[in-house]
Amino acid sequence: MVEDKEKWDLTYWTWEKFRDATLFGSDDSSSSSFGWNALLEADAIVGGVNWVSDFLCVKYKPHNDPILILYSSRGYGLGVAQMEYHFRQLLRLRKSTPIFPDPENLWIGGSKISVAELLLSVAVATNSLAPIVCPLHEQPSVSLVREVAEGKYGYVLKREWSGSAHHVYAPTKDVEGALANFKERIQFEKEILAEMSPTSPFWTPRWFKQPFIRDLVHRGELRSYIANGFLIGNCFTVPRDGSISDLDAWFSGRVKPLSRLEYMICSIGAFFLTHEYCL
Amino acid sequence: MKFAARLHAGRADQRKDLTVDRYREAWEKLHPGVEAPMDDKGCPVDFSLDGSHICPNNPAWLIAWIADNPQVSGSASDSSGAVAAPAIGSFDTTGNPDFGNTPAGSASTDCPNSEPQSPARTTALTSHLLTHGYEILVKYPNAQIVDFVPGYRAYEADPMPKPKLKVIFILMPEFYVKDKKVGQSAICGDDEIDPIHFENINNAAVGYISLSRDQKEVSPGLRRYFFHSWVSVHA
Repeated sequence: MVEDKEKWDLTYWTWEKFRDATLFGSDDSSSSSFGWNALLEADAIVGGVNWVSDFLCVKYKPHNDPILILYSSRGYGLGVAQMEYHFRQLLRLRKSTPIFPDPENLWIGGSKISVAELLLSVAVATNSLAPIVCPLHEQPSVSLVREVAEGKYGYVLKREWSGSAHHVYAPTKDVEGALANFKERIQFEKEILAEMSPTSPFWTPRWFKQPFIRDLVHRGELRSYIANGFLIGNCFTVPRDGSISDLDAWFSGRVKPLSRLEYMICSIGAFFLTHEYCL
Repeated sequence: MKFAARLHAGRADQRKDLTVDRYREAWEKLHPGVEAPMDDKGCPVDFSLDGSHICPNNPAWLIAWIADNPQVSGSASDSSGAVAAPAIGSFDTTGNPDFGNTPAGSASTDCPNSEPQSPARTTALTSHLLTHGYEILVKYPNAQIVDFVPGYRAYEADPMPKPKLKVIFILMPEFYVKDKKVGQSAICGDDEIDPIHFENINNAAVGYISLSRDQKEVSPGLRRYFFHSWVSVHA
């Protein structure tokens, strides 16, 4: 698109500039930051926080996956309250300026339960397949995680927003390790929830059960995104050394030219039109 | 595809033989008696890059539709190789729900202490998808949804002079290129672009774009870079 200088006026902003512009924006243009007013006047904004992942995981220790930390609000340089405010500002901003990917769609699309609900309703309407997902009423107990880790039920526990399989508990030989990990995650989650405002736009992440497919541990998982029956992309993840909490991931396909915005496909769009197949 | 992805992604290490064996095993299950196709690098052929390949797992309605529309196999007279797909509402699905691969004791009825959430929020989306078809252009390397951003096509087609579209492109920290390579993260992509765009991005923030060491087979005047993979700046 940058080659077509007659149509596009492209400006690159750092995340820090974008973040501060939203945090210092207000309805009163005279008192808003120059950056906020520039955002209001733009025709489109491309990029932003990855709301799909565990974006609030501010309490993770430094030794955790560095990529996940980058996804978290700590990586973005925001506390929980600031993250909430930034999100609200984006919802205001999108009324005047299209944001791609749309932050709310990205956030909802990141919820595994919301996507499962959508896939289920589509499957019912089209008499096709949908993954089995059973949401829990409440956060799983340590005893339930132990039983799952011991393979008593043959299902997996997951959290709707997560990243890098950090909230996945499946049958394992290292039951005590899984329990220690779970207790640590739950403690972090409690601290995050304590910082969320009563009117937070985010809700408490829900947990759910899914059937445990043993082959995924050894052979990996291929996610193919198909729109109207056509393959539009795929992602292959395989556990390193058989550990479901340590994944390698590859995406095939190429980057999408921004100049073809009318044809843009985002992961959420793919989710909305997707059936997933595993080879 | 997954075996090809693993090997083509540079994982041709000591596990390559094991991976190839697994690929051959999986292929034999799908196509008994047919030799597994390999490329000239000794890797499984990546069908995800082959627009003419028809996945054997495709639903029956799709296989039948492709048979009636041979241009989808890549032999279209249209130079773009594009073909419109049927509208979503015209699906002729005949399969029965079959959750397969479900271990004993983990069927959908085995959900103590659980309650499926109301799909109220997604009902509207489902209704929309069932009543609105999207035209799909099937072309390498990515199929594309036409008019996914409503109005842009009309904007572009309008011959009247109009101001430039102001687009602000946010450089996010998770797309920071480490050590001049993608590293373990798959969220940075690589593409060949004009070096002037490297200058523009680098002027905004250092470290978000990096010259690739591999400059083989790059188009004249362009160079290959690692950068942000949401979208490409390359038209």
